[in-house]
Amino acid sequence: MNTDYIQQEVFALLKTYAGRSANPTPVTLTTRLSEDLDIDSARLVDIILDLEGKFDIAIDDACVPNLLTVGDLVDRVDSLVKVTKSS
Amino acid sequence: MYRVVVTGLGVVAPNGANVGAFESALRAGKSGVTLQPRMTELRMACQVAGTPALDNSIVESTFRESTIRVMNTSMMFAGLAAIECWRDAGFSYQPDEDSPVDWDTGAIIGTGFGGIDTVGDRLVPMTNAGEVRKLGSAMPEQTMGSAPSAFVGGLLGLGGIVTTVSSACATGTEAIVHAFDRVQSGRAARILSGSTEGSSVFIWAGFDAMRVCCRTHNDSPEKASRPMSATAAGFVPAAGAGALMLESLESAQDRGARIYAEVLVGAMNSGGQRNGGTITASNSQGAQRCLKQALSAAGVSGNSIDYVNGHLTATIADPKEIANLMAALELTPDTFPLINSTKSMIGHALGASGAIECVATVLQLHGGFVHPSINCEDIHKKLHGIQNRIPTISTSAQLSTALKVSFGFGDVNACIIFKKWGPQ
Repeated sequence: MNTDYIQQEVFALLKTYAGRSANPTPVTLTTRLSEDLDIDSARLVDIILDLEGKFDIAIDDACVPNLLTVGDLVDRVDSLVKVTKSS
Repeated sequence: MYRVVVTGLGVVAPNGANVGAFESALRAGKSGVTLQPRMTELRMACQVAGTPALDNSIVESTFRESTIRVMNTSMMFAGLAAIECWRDAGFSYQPDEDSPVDWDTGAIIGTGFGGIDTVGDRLVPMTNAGEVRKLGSAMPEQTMGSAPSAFVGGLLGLGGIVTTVSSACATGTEAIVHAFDRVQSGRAARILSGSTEGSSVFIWAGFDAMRVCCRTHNDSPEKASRPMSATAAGFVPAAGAGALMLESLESAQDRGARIYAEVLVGAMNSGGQRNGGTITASNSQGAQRCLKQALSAAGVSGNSIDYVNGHLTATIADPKEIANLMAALELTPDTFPLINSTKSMIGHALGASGAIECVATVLQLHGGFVHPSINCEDIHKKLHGIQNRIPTISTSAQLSTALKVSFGFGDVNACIIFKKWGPQ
């Protein structure tokens, strides 16, 4: 499972969570979850649960406040997947 | 005091999932009651119910994917009925549009049981299994008492009062009465009012246990709901939602809105669970007082009511309801108005029944017809005197004034008098 695949999956997932006020421009790694995709902190909980299920990982609640952009999510998943693979 | 009119309708009913389909079904006497395999699996005595048949494409084209993810059936039915009502009243809704707040419109959307399907399917089993972390963020918004109104308010961007009311099987009519009061008093230009009830065995199981649901027609579902029949054997549980846009006449005329009917009055009370009234039964004195208060406030006499949409659930309470109507309206069997039971076709949608049946009432008033009350060819012996006032086929009728009544557990009563709009 490489980073490109993870990125693709995160992008696809976020499309289903984007709110009514989401910026219609294409999603990139620098896209902001709240300001650009209209995803609030409650919905971020659901996104994390979906990612945990999809990649069989556990995302620590303590890191959630630091997940501000799409890139933050991709990096977090990528690093956890790598740890899982190596263990 | 402002005059109050109906400028929009929306419905998700077991025999029609939008207003056009519902009206056609009413005119045709089409039942929406079907066998429910899940009820059979669970060995419930009643295994039939009225549940709206919804095409997935309608749901997917009406709601955003992120919205569908957090809806239960109670919310979905409320949302579909409210959006249809909103559009019917002349307003626009696009799933992807972040519309501005409409400060002049509120929502009063009732429910009897709310998100009990979510509670039964997910909240209780996952909590008991120690999987609280996996519940996700949407549990409160799906299970809180005000879920239906909060959901509708968010979909449409409503900035007036947004609240949910609940009074058992009188809920829908109660919601519309509250809306009437607010618009009549000038506290709102418009209230999108109505009620919803989800499709869930967790709602129906309790009534099945009470032995008040029909258990004699599992092999012929469309004949199971038999209000006013000698062989009525209990109500058929149902689900759905109804919505009416109540608006001040001033506001409606200012924006050139189409007007279906005028709401003359709404009344509500309780029999106090005394004098024959209990948590489940109606105190006749209370029911009659409610009806008399409505007539008095509207300034109309009983003999000016052309049509009654009864509560009429197909239980032993049906003859009592007719007797209370006869007494309160001060009429005899010969002068009794036309009466029918929409539940004969759709079953008893509990908290949603009043709103769905108010939609039926307004459609009949507006369309000049009275729908058949099906499955009562073998009329109850106490109702022989009014047999010719109960249409068994769709009947053309130039109605002027219609009365909708609802009664609920808690010995609560609610009624509304509608008047046809336009030349009489």
